[in-house]
Amino acid sequence: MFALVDANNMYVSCERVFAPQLVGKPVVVLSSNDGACIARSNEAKELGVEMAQPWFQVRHLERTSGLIAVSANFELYGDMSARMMAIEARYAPRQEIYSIDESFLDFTEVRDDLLTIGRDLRRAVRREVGLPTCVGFGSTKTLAKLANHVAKTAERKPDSYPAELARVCNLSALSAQELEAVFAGTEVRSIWGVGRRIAGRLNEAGIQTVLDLVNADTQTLRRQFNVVLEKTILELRGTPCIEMADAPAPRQQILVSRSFGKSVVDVEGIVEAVSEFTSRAAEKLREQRSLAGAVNVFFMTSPHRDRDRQHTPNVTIPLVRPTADSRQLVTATVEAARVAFRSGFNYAKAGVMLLDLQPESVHQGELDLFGDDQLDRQPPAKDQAPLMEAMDALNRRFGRDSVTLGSAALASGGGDVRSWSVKQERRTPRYTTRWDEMSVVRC
Amino acid sequence: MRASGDAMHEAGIDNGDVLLVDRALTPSHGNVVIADVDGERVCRRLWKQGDSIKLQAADGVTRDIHPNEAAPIVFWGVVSTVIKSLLG
Repeated sequence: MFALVDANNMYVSCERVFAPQLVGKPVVVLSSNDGACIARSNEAKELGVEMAQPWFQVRHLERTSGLIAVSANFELYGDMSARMMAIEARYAPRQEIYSIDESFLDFTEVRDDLLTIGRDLRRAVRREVGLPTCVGFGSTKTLAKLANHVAKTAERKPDSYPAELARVCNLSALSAQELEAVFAGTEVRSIWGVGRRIAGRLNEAGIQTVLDLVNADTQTLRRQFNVVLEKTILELRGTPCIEMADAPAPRQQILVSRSFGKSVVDVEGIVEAVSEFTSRAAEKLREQRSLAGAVNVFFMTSPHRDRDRQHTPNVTIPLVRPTADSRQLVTATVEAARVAFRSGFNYAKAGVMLLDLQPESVHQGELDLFGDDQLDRQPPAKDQAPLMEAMDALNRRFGRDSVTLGSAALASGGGDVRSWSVKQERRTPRYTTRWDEMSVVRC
Repeated sequence: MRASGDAMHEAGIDNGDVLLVDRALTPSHGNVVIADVDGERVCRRLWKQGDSIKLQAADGVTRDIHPNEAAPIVFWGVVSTVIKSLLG
């Protein structure tokens, strides 16, 4: 049995923990360069603001409807995420972080009442870090993800699903009839891993709802679609067959993580892993023609070695400017890893997440707007594209890691990852990670 | 959190002090708490008898905050420790 725990409107919710005046108001969070809405409060969704909608298209709502926009504050979101994940990890034997706001919990062989665990977990996260979450349980990851979708939608739109499924939903606890009603009331495009294109093709083939898909003939679909969809159908029918390693990518983020075969105790081991993971993530980033505006690095000891002292550092660094350049990304993640590393621990796993993804094209169009001196110190990301392309091509042809970034490049790579040259006029303080930006309370 | 204002001086909290706030504790009568009222976050002492609650400043002058339907008191955490700078 799996659970998928997901924070509601994560970035907006993080802002609200420290800014009570944002509670109940329509709020959006803008991507680097204040270009697009990357998070929306429910009130902003009601106003019709779409995901990833350019800010200039909704800007008029500031005056007419009281819409409030803040610049993305990834250092805050990353730190809040780390706190949230640590609380969630207390509730299950195994946790797999899936994105900045989602983690899968593995409840295999747990006999207790899952709905009670889910409610306790929600309450603890709400109370201890102040973030609202929804919890979905299912016998496979795809069903847990679907249960989470149901829990969220039932909370936000009361007439969509039965009210008792809101916030915490366990699909395995439903009767066959109730489950069928949920499947029939959910469109295929809401299924984990079914993208817009596949959803469109399924609709053309007469498959509109999850129920249609579950009842469809797997053999026929396999011919028309691919093995990924077949796995999805098997999972919807209750057969687990998607491992974390080949799980569909989270939206707007790229995550590469892996457990170590043997625990790592020295900083160089961590740096090596983190730089390898970053290179791999950067390759994926360039494949989808995107840039990243922030990086997150985490590594952890094994909670199952209970004699070991535990340490789970998790650092998020916003970049000076969004980039797809492996060298800049590796410089940032390696610096983060070095800062977070403590000796005396047996680290068992590490991961790198690229955040604040944005299309390469949008960013190039905006480059001319920069008139600041950062441009002189750091060549625009565009100029490095040929080098990165050559690197990717060599690695494709001669195998992974034929060409990698040497550590010499890291030592001298010196991009200043701390400064803020990106236009972020509305950024809120980094309340939880900077002593001088601490939240202020009236006495 | 950093304190701003003098209304809690008699409770040992001065302007500019750093407060350690424990969100996991349940606020009880007499605790110094952080709470949101009508979109503003304040630091006050909690007065609680049965179902009746109010937030009191420590200076005896600033008016008590009573919750009402339009502006309920939403607790953020309990202040456990105060850190003072001796260098101003």
